[in-house]
Amino acid sequence: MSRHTYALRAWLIQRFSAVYLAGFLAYLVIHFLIQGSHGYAEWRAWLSHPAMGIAGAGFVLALMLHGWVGVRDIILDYIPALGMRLLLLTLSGALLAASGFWALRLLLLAAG
Amino acid sequence: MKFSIYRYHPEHDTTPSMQAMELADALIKPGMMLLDALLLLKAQDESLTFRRSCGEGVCGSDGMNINGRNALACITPLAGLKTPIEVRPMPGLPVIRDLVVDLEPFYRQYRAVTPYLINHDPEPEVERRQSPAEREQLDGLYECILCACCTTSCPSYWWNPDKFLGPAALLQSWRFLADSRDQATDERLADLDGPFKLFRCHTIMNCVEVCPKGLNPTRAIGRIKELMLKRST
Repeated sequence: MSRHTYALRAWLIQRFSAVYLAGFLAYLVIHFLIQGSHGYAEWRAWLSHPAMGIAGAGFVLALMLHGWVGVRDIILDYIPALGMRLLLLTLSGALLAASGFWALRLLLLAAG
Repeated sequence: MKFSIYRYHPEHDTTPSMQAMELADALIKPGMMLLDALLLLKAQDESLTFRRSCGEGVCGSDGMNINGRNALACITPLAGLKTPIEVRPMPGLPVIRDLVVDLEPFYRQYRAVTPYLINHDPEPEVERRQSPAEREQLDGLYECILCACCTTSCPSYWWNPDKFLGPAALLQSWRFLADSRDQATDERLADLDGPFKLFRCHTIMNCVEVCPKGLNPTRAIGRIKELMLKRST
């Protein structure tokens, strides 16, 4: 990607992350329909599987990116004042990043 | 038949108001359009102000908000409209008087897409020719009459009227990007870069819903994004 990337990148990230999120959520629904409810030990075993760890980390990353583009869009649409816009972008970015790192840390802990 | 008409005369009124007006049933003829009714109302109260010209849905002068939906008054049949018929100016643009809006912000965005052919080759003795297939690419694009019904029904345009180009201008942008004779593709795409000009479109599709010519600006915007993607990889 060399030209016209600035605005296009966010649009592409939103679409690719949406596809991943939809696929992962479909997998979760099917998994829980087949496996039924998990106890603590089953949860840990399931989340500590390397494939699940990678897929879960992908889910968290995709959720962060998708959320960021969506929140950014809302702020760009509805907040015309530049100072307030920058403040809200910074706060929402920090909140999303903190939530994402917290979720990734949980996945790492589960992987043991 | 009852009407509720938006009235605002900046020299007399501090705020706009809705005025109840009525036409005798005897004046209503079968097949009558809203513009015909407005002309009869204007005969009752000549201060009522609105734009009109061709009366046939070709010039795009009489775009207005009719019962909450943008449309051309001259091709909107009275039959089927819920009464009292509420007529307001198109939203999102400054009101000059009554149903007349200032279209300059709309035209400014239209001019921003350089809505003309850019070709640096020497001018040919005959016209710049296209194959029938190339010409077909312009169908659904060149028919726009710039009535502003689409742009003024777009929430993204309401929020960022000075930055987001709006559906009408972007339809015209694609009209020239899709033209086989145009040589300014890169410049046109570069001009559309940034988070506001093109990417404020959230596929709400009000533009498609209200276009009196049945055009699809949302599809044109999607094509621009596809072309951007192709040219940037």
